[in-house]
Amino acid sequence: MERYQADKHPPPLTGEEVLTTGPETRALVRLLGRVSVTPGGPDQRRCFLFDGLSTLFHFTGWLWGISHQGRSAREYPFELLLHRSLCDETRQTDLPSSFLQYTPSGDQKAPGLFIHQREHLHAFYLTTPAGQQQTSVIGFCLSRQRDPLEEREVRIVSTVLRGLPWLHAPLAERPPDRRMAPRLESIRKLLLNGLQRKEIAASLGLSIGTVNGYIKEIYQHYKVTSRTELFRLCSLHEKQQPSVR
Amino acid sequence: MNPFVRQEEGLSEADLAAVVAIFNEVCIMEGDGAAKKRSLMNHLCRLIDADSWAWSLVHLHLSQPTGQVVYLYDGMSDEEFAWYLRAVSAPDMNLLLDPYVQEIQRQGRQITRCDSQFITEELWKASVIFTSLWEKANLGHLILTSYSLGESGNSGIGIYRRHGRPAFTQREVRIAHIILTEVPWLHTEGWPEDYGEQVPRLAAHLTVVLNLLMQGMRRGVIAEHLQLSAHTVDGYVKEVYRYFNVHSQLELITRFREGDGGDLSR
Repeated sequence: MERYQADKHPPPLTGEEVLTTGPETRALVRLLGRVSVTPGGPDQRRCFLFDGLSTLFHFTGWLWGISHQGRSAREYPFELLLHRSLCDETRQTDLPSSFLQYTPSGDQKAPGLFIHQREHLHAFYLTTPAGQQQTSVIGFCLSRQRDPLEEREVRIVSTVLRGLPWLHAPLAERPPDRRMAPRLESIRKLLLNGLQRKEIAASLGLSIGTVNGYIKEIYQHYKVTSRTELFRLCSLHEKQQPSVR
Repeated sequence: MNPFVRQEEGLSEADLAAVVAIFNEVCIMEGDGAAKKRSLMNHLCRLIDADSWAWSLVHLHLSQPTGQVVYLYDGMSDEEFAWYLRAVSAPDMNLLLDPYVQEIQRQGRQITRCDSQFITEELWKASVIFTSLWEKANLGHLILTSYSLGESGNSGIGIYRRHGRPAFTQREVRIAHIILTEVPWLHTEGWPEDYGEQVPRLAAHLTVVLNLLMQGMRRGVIAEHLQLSAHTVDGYVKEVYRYFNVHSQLELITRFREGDGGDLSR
């Protein structure tokens, strides 16, 4: 845990001190207005919102997932639900693997803000309780070329994310019968995002053999034999995430 | 001269959280565009402590009567709404609104203004509208915004406080302006397809009747609110129907809500 700088809820600013600049305010209100009428389900809205925030604050990627408290590391406490890389010059697969690997530990019960700055990864995460034994984790990843995050920017983004409880409410909308183990769900998401097996393995810090085993389980679950079939099946049953602009 | 022209458009953390909370409600609610618009406007009024609002299609011309069709409003009783319509259709209103219309034409973009920005309090309180109509409509200070729809006219939203309440502060005008400007669907959605043809060039008293008919009011109620005889109202209603070539109130409302109401294309 020492690499996470825990910075629990910062106390709200007092008085009339202005937090946002004029252009930021306008862009944020425009974004929130559009999210409110985005067709589709909550996942479409989440993508739209996270993409918009990333554009506004020059983030290079984002993720959203659920951390299951009380599960051991072997039970895969962190379930990745949505993510996207927004670097122009890099591909989807280049989301820094440690960003994907981020798993708040099981005893991480308190909601809060975690800023993580290391040589190869600048990111921050907001954790919010999302039901029994579940914590929603939203993370944004920053380019290393970018200036470090200002406290002001972190406050703006976390004010927006905390003000939208629907963002963090995860699993009720998903039919329980189609749910697989969290780790399989994470891998299914990566498969559908077009990552190669070895890339999935690198992202999650697993061996190729382990990943192959997981993929076999996923194919069995959906009764398919190839990724193409999985794609077709999943796009029939779920509204696909909107594509990257 | 104008204290608000160079407004910084930033928000405090508390205001940002309040704005986000509004959009959270609008986002998760069930309902069509009109329902979302109503919800957003009502939440905005709560945030800036306003009491009522009205959204209209308007034609603004210097020193000419304002052609106006109210599509949605909230926070006014039927009677207050009838007085409001008489106030906004009154000939004096043009003179009071002229500085606002001039600024819209000069700036060529959406502007949001509170009353003190385009009219002095002495002039306003001395006007016939203020003394005879505005008070009866139980209206006081106001914020107006106007979004151009091109040839078709303007989408106009008025936000009002009740009579006798204090003026809007700079912060409240700023929040209203940001939301009314940066949420274009407030202005562009919810019109019938041929709304451009519909901005009526009706006499003021007929515009008032049209707007009350649009809200589904019965003739007897209209007569009561406008303090006219039933016979006079019957005559006005007939003129409105003839103008739009319809034969019933339902047909008139359908015509405005859904374009030609299906009666022209078939």
